[in-house]
Amino acid sequence: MLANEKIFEAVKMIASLLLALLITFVVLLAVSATPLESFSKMLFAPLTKVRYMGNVIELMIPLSFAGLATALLFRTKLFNLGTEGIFYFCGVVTAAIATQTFSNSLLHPIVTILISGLVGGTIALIPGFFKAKYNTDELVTSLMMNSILFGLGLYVIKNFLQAKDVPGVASQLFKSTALLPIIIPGTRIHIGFAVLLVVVLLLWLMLFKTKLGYAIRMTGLNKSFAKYSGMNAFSLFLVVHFISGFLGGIGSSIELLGMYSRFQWSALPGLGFTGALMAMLGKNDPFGILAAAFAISYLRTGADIMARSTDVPVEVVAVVEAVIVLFVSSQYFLRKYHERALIKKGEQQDA
Amino acid sequence: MLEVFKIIFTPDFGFTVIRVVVPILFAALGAYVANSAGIANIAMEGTMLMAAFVGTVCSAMFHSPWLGLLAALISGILMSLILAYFTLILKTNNILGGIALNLFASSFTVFLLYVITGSKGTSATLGAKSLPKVVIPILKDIPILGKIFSGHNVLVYIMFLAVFIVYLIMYQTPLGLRIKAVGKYQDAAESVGVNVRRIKTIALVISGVLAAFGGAYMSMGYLSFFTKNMTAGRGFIGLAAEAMGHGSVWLVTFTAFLFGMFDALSNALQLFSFPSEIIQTIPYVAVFIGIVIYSIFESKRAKSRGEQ
Amino acid sequence: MSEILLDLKDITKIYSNGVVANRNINVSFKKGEIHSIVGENGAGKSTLMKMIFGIERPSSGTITYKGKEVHFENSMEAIKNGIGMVHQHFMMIDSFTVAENIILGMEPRKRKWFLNKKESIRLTKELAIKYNFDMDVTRKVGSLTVSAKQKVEILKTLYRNAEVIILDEPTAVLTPQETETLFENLKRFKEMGHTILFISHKLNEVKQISDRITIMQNGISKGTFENSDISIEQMTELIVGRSVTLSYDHIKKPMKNIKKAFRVDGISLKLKGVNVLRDVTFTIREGEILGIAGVQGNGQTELVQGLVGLQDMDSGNWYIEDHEITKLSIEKKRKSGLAYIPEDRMKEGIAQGATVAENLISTYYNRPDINGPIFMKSKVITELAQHLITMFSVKTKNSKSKIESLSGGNIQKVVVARETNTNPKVLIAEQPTRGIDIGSEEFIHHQLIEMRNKNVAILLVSADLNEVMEVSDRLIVMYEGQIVAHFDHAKEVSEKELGLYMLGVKRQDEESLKRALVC
Repeated sequence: MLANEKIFEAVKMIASLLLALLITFVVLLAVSATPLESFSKMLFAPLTKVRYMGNVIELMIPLSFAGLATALLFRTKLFNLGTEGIFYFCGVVTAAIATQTFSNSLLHPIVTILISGLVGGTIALIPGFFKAKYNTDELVTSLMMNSILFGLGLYVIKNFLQAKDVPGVASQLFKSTALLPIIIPGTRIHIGFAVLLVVVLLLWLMLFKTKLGYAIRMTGLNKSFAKYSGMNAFSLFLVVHFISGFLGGIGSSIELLGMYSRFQWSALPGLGFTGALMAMLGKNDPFGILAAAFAISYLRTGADIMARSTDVPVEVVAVVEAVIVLFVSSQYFLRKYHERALIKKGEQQDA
Repeated sequence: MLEVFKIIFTPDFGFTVIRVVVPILFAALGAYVANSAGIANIAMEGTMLMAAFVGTVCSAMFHSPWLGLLAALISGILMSLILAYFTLILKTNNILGGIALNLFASSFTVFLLYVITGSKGTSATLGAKSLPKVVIPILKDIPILGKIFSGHNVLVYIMFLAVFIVYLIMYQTPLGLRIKAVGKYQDAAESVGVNVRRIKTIALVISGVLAAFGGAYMSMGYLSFFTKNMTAGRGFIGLAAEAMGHGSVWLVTFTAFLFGMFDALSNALQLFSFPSEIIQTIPYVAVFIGIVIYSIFESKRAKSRGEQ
Repeated sequence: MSEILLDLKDITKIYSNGVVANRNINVSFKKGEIHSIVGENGAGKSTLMKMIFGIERPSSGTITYKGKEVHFENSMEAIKNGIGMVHQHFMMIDSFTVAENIILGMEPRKRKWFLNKKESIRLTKELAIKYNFDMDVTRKVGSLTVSAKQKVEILKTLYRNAEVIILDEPTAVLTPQETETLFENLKRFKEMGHTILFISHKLNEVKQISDRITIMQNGISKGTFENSDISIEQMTELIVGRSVTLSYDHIKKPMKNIKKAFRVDGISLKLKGVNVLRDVTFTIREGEILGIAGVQGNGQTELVQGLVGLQDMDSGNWYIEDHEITKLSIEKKRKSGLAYIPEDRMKEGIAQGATVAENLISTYYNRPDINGPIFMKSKVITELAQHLITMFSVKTKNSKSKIESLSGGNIQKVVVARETNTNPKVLIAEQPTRGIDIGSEEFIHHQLIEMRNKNVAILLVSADLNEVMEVSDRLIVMYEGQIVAHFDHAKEVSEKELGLYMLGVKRQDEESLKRALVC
């Protein structure tokens, strides 16, 4: 049974999760006066109230977009972590448009989100171009872009969009026409969730049902093979970067318009790096990322609830996340069981 | 404009450059050793951050900044060993492993910070002692040079020593020769009996120790407390410096100083009425342009050798 | 009579994929002799040497060294016991100096922790002088000529006190003059008491240098002979003698076309100072299979890589039916009617993580018949894939299985199916049946001939003499980057004679060659 690839991956994931929870529990033992209570709160609290599950879904939205954006790049073996900066800067772009007066409350958010996406895609073309043409290390360029975009974005907010009556970094209020409506009463889940589901589906379709997606996947699997078959790595790299930046842009916009009334990020929101986490856990598959985002969001929400009523800070969830990711993305974790099973299966077939 | 020049060509500026280059250079040296063995240590940033935290907290706990430094170094070794285990034995992709460790360090340091101090922003309440400053007796009286080089935190001088020690190891010992051999042509090294896995692990540990020095400096030299995410990308700037100084410890050092200069410049310019957010992007822009120029050259060179 | 140093008894090596590389080999090597091991690619010479050097372990049989049975777990153990190997592809670090490359792993120390660079230079210089290699040991290896690099590789083994030195195809990268120098050196080593194992396929050289010669073919030994007891012709016969005769005459349609489908003109390439390809020119007609016979490493790989667009050539032009395709992108070359079965199917021929169907369409994935306005027509693709799977008898559960679960022969069938399904005008097939079972091999040959019958021009590059003689219509032989022979009918030449051209013993005169090739 362990010989089956898919089953083995699932087993690996569950084993990693259990291992991670075990290590986390040990940490809680060391740190908390009430370890058992903290641990069970973290694991089960979100299930106790509709409002909490709503929090899980809300958090899942930006996490998923970040994950999708990064996964596309990772799949093509491009280790670009620039979603962070794009998220921030496109947030600023969103603020710029959302604070303008628009009569149409259907068009306002749509236009804002789309422009945000286009800006994100265009920005992403910068490291993409240099990588495609000169093989410039995309890890370094994307990380530098993050800080540069942060500085630029902060400058724009402070000097052009700052609300004078609010302390700290804050844009003026978004016009009500720009905000996204809530679709599930009793929660804060906004229409962005529906958009997310549509985007996941579209992405999946693109990746697995169109020739562009096919070319992207083949290039990621074996670059020599793609070149031999006549695929053009240069234009593919550009396209992948653009789509990734676009996803980051709309993700940022949707998050702001759905959950906030003004732009108040004074630091990089950290979603870009978490996006890498999603990509690794979800194995670069759109639906996998959705599931991974749900899982991480659940854990974080649980940790948040726990943090509010115990002595444990919410950051303990980083332990869980790091351990899971490290084990899940390793190739040799539990591998000998898989290989033993494969050999057994081979023997059975020969017999 | 003129005022800007007036600022740069002063001994005070030189002093500042040295002050800010420390984490960058330590990171660059660490990246240099790891890269020479063919295994990029993306976890430099996280290692630095962890060391920064461990250093100052242990300094407070043991009432000794030196013990704090020791603890920081141990944490650096541990981080590297974890990375080595996952990358070399469990065969995790080393870039993904590095990213995971960085994320872990980022949150875990805040976690421990809260648990120990009750604050999520800074450890200032611990009142940890930082490492001492050193005034060098005769040097301090030399005009200009004295102002630039004397009076720094002791870790600055350790940094200069570190450059020299890294040079010694990499160019004058069998270990350094083997590290480079493994990095350039692993099979050739293996064919003469070099234990590739062991060499890579040693290289990672060395880079972890260097990163730890850089991190310890941030919380016990530059400042005297830990703040959330205080390394602010310096580990990655170090990585970029190494990428551009490719293969030569002196070029790497030079590039690191270059980036340090931009960092100091951005500090200095903030005294003027230039918008600080834009100024603060200067070092990152410099690195970006630098690495683009570097890769254009590299790409042209590879083409002429028929490798593209 | 000198003593027997190394004795191999009944050595058999079967790889995990079932390939029998060596079968019941019995051979012994005497101290102080130069012993050549000759055979074609795939004869098993390299595998045998790997087992002596500890890189591989025999499946059965014993190796006795200096009277004791040995089981080397890795090459370090072999090295410690005094066996050294100079690989065909040098294992050296270009940016290190000669001295550094030699001492790596056994560095002379200063105060225990530091490199004693002076001592390294002294020791290596001494070594070089002792063995009469005139060499500046402080130069970087990357700046050396190939023959100098080889000297360094040899010095590496001598630095580690090798008594037995294995040289794997050492003259493949040397000029005739350098070869002479190497042979002088080898003779000197012999006089100093070393034992030389010389692996080669160049019979002239083997005859020149060896004391004894062992001939291998298809994994078995055809015997060990004193140099004086065997002639080059006799060697050729033993090496090249075919055991299985395939025949495809009965399914070949008579060639009626004289239309030129593929024209190659003057391709030359120099890599790292060596002339890898020299003015290669030939033409293939519609419905004709031109075979390139030759031992691997004589330029065939580079020629094919150049023709399909994976490597830039220094000069030359090539045309499909009068359309020049020299400078076109790989995609455009393919669209012009070029298809290519690569020799390394795992590296270029397939994407391992993808399904069979995905691999089957890679070279024409954006063709209109399998694409709708937005989506790929997955039903059409599945049907197409299934059709190809059936047609090519590919053993797989269905088209959605991951290709890596297929056997080598079936993977190759997938590659062939894909390339033939593009309706090409010209098909380049490179080692198309290497490492696959006989059944699949025959099948693929049938496919090639069927394409030939449908007027496709085929360039068949193969180191397998059976294949290239039976499948081709016309035949050329490549040796050291040049075409050295041309035969209008593959049937008109005997394998023995072909072997002489392949092994560099004979070559046709340039004039008649030129005329024949431009046809």
